[in-house]
Amino acid sequence: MAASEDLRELIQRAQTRDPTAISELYNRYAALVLRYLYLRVAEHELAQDLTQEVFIKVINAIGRFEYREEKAFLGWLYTIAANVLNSHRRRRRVLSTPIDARDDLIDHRSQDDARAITDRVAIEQALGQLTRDQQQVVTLRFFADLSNSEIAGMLQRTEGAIKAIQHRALQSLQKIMRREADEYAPPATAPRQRALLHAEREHVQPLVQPERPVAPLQSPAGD
Amino acid sequence: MRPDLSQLIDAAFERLQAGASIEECLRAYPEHAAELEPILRTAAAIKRQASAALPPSLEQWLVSGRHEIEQLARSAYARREPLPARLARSVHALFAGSFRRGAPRLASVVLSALIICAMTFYTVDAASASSLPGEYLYSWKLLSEQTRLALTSDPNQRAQLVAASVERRVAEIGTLTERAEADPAQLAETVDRLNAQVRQALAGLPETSPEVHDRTITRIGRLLVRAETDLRGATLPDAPASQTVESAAQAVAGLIDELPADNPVAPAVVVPAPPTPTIQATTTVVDGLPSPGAPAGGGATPITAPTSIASATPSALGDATALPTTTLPPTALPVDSPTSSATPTPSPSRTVVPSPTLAPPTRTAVPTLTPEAPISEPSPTAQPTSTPQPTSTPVPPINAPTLEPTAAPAPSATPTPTATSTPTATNTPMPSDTPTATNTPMPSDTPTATSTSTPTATSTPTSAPTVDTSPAGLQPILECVAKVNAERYIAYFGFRNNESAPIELRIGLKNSFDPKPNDRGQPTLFPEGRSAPYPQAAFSVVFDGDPLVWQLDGRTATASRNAQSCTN
Repeated sequence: MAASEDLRELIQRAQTRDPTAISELYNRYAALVLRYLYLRVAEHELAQDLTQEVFIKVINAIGRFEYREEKAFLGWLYTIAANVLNSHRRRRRVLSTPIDARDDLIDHRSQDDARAITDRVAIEQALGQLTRDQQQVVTLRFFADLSNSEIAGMLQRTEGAIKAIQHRALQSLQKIMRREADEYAPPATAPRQRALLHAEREHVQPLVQPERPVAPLQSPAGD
Repeated sequence: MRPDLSQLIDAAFERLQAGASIEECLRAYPEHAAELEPILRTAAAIKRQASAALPPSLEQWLVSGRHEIEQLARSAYARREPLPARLARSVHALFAGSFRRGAPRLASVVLSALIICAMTFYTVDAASASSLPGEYLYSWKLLSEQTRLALTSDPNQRAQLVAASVERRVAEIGTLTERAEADPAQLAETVDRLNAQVRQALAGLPETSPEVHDRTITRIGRLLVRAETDLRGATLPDAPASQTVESAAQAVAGLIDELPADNPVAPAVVVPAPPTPTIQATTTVVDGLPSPGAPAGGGATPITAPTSIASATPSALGDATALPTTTLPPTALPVDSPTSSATPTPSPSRTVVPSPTLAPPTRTAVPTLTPEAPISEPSPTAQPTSTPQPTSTPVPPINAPTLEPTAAPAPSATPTPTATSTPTATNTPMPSDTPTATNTPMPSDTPTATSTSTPTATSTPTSAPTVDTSPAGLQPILECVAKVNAERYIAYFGFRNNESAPIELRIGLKNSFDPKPNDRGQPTLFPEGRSAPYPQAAFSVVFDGDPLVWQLDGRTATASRNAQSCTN
């Protein structure tokens, strides 16, 4: 509770246009945002740029944010991150970088084991194939650690609807990842090469139909 | 049934969150275990990734990014708030003062005029902030930026203002490229402005503090990369437009290349100094005295005086104390030089091991290093000269970080003194053995005596200076190359740090790849010793099989399709 009050005070300071409060918010939450974006885009520099963009939107939108508790703030922050990501993907769509032209899907600088690399590449690709609603729910559930009821409150949906979306999202992810693993992992291939092969496979169409559009959040920072 | 499974998945996931294993969760719902298992494993994999540690380079970026965000917040908030606030205070002061002087009507008029002007100015200024090239208020926006810059004299603040202008140009490029059909002329025009402002920023950097310098370069570098990305992603109506914007993107890419190569991405780390660094001054002199074991050649006639050039190249990290490293490669052009020895290993009879006060032997070139800059300066260069004088007896310097080579060779000698010293202000080298006058040569037109004196001065400073972290002991290693297919290979690299402490070397000229990009995921922190071999190599790079060179502090490791193949 003390931490929550601390955050409330911090946000109040930010709302009075105190740059050091923004700096402190960054200090606390930038790693979460960066981790999320890095998993979603798998590029160091791009993840950094998008993280910065998220906080620029925080700077501009914090004045309109209504603080209730930390989880609500986290949900707000991740929603901005998801919006920034979507906006970036729209911008990049015209580039349509072929997947096999990218050599950045494997984290060159990580000391991760093969399983972690495989997981990351597979999840990054699979998440991108979910519907927007499913991505939003997965983001808030697994990254922001919100409960289904909290997500329901935030998205103005029933808790049952959120659970159903979560269920379908996990099912889709599992199917996509399994299909790709079956298709692209020859048994004698070294782990890192398997990861690369994962990365090189073509995009596939989403397996599920789009959900009913979710009402926008506070639409804090625009998009 | 579906909703039930949704409930079960949620409940099982809650158990997972609480620390239960997947198997425990499945045991709780045996009748649905087959359906639940793959979904739970997927959920666990996502959760694992969501809480995975960031790569070190991203962690480092977070630290440097904090300043940038605070700066952005500062400039964003400063744009709108303070001006009316300051105006209000000024007006209030004027208002109160006028009333005190009994001039309420004048005060009222002035007050109204000021408020109207201020509000008009502020409104226009605020509205212009979001204007784009080609719009009515855009000229005002540019004028406003120039005015602010003209009114600022502090170099650091000026650098920040120019960087903020660069950021606005990049934001404008981003907005223009997001349009359904970007206007190539506007983009090109904005890139021209961007170009000018980046050059303006770079021109002002030498006057800024190191911190602002590094931060500004980092910020501008990142902005330019974003601008280039946006330009290349612009939706354009036709081929000529594409060509125009491609040229603009290339111009931005050129700007990126022009940025200082050692563009700091992360703050430098100062490697701790060893507890008692040894300052060594090694002087090798070949003079007219006979050297044990060396044939005494006669008839040597020096025709030129030796000239010693000392170059001190201390390195400093941040504000750390510089440690000059002095090398004195004197040159002499003797005729028929009897013996010349440049080995740092002292000869037994001619070796002096000086203690802090260097009392050079007679006829011994005593290097004097006088750094031109104080010890905290990063790159002093001293150019002492040595003057061969047969009978001179140089007086050793006391309490000075100087070591002056004063070669005093006999006329018959061929002095080739080489002095290398690494002094500090507290270093007062003193030889433990001072050759006496027995070594004094006889000036003679036809000298016959030849000797080699190789004094080695080693002194221990009274205080430990900060040690240069130049990673001389870093060696890049290509572990092996794995073939994925005919056009795709993976190079596994490692390194060896021969120093006794970790070394940080940022991405830049000394830690780069050829061909570019320089940053291909290589480490920037190199722990001592050798990195783990394949398959746990330090990092890997996907490449096309053509030679790929990792340049690490002057050494290289080259990967190619023909390099050693990974066996497993």
